[in-house]
Amino acid sequence: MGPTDLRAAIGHAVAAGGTCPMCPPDGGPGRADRVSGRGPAAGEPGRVALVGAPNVGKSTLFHRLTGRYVTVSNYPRTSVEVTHGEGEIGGRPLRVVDTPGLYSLSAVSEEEEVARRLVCGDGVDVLVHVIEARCVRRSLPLTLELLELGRPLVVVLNMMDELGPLGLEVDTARLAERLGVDVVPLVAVSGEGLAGLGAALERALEAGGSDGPASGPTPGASVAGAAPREARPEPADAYGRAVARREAGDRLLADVVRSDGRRRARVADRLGRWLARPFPGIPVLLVVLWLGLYEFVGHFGAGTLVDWIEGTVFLGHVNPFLERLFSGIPWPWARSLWVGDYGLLTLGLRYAIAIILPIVGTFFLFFSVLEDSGYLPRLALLVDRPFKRLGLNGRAVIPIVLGLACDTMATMVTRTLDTKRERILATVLLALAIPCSAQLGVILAILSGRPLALGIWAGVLLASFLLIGVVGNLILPGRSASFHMELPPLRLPRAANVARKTLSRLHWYMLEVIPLFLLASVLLWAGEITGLLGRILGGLEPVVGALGLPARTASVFLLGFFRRDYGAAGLYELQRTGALDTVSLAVAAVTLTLFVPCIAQFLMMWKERGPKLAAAVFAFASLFAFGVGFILNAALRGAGL
Amino acid sequence: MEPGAWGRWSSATRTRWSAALRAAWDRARAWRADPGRPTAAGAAADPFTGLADLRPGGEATVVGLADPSGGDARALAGLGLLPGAEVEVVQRYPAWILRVDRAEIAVDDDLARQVRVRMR
Repeated sequence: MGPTDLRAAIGHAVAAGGTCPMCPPDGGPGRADRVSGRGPAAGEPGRVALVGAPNVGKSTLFHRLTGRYVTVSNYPRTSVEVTHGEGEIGGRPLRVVDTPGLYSLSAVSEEEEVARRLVCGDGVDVLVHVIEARCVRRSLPLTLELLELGRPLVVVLNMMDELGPLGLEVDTARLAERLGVDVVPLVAVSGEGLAGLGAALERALEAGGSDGPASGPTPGASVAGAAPREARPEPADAYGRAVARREAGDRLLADVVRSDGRRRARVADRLGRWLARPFPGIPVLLVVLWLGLYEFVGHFGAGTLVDWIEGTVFLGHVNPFLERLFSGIPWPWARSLWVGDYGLLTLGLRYAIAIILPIVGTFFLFFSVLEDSGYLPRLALLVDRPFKRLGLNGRAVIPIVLGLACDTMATMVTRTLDTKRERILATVLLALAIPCSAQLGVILAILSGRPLALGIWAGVLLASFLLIGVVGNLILPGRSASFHMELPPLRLPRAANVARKTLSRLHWYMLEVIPLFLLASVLLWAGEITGLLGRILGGLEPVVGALGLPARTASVFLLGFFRRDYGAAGLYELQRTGALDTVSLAVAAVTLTLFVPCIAQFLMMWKERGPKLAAAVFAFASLFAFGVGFILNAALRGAGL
Repeated sequence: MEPGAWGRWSSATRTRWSAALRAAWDRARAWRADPGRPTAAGAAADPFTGLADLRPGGEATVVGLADPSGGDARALAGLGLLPGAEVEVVQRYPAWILRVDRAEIAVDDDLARQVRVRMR
């Protein structure tokens, strides 16, 4: 049975006779493991797809429905990540997939395309359209599009708790009657209304098995009559179709949404707008950065936590234990691999867990709080104009800020930028001028005692960021993409959400980045025992000499490529022995920060942007870093410091 | 340069600068004076205006886009800027904040200029 026959067997009330006008003729990918085209039998897991715009609470609902076996994987042949999980509701097992945010089925971005394929494909029994209750009018056009597909559909009105304070009421029964599908009011965050969803899903799953249309009045029939039908719509008509659906939706909504007409300004609204103006937005940003980065990540994460984990746990207990454990091995090269100076366990693992993990972890926590509170879109607003000079726009604020946590993750997140040009510019900026938290923590620790060096370092870094951005914008053809963003209301971050987001990022970090760092340790160990390391260092020494730095600094840079934390730690050691004066310290810190990205970030750039860009950035970063170091050294010494 | 050329050059420059400054000042005054509402004569001539003409607090209803087949049309539709949507301008700088059907969105000047509205 081909896909088109399958759809005909399920049955449609809509005149078009069963072909989704948006889908390619092959019906899209999906598992066609239900031969007869009927819905799942009782007891078999129902396959549910959550559909809707971003920020409507799909993820929260997803986590309410699924408990176990949540996996995130790439949709085949794309870089878009899709989350699936298993769970159950009302006794019925479910397989739920959380689709990327979608505004309409006429998809353009890769994420919307994947969402569309998931929705139109055969791997789903029921579509659940999640809508924010107060934005019904805006979301209804997508509901109508989904209805046109003729598949079992349930509409969820989420965030019902926000209607009361706004003086709104939605007549869900009337809306359900007009649409011909179940409309379930819900508050995903608290779980209120889930029982109703369970019942609706059960009805939809059963209805999907019959040959006729879904239960209730013929779904979509009244709507289909109202909305103009086109056989194969032209892309240029996308706005016209959106307009038509909007009109049909407005007709459906007559008497459904009631407002008491009073205008309310909630504290959160006023605060949100207040933050989006340059004043007090920018001072608040500086305070947030100071509290978050300097105090929380810097003092607590890079200071207190690191000292405790490294000092007490590792150096106090784990390392001596490991050394005793391995002392029995007769071959010194094997011993040094595990417990030597660059030992996998004594240094590689220790740094990964004792230094990087607390710093990156605290930063991810800080970032998740910013994200969940809704502050990030306001920040994006503030930086949109300056970012446009750099060829980006406000939306790039997310990868750039994330880059302060981990450049590798941020490079991956540049996927979300709209145009290829922006993705390249953001990647280059991340590679050259955004120090990751591991580096940042240690460098701030080193320079905090020497405010002059700190000021020089910060100033040169900022200047480099702006210079590279502006020059990049001039060189690369094209213009910045336009800036548009939803502004969710500002709210107190919810602990469960923050925990979930932080843990999922940490989980990714442990799986994707730490193994690369351990690999780097092995490479360094191999380099050391073969003497290759020594030879490369010998080659680097004259270069660092030209910067006015002692020969020992060469190892700082070489290590800095493999692992940023090694480089920074090497610098820390040098500073402790008093080998560097303020000027040398500033020069070394600046050069190290501007230097090539660490091995993890380099590989991510290779994967995301291609080997040519990765190699070009590597070469440019080396020249740029040492060039700036040389000039800085000459300038500072020349100024008589 | 011969003597006198400097005097002539700088006087020509000064004239150009002062003319430019005066023009800029006049434009600024005109902008301030215009509350964003078309005059009676203006309203009769062109009842539709662009979103970019509104000041904070201005309310309007969307009637369409300047270029419905352009690249930005989809993004604007996705944000809810469709005919019939009720829009209120919350702020214009550094980016536009619009309240569209009870939800707030942010857009830049380029996008705001593309939306055609009717004053309420």
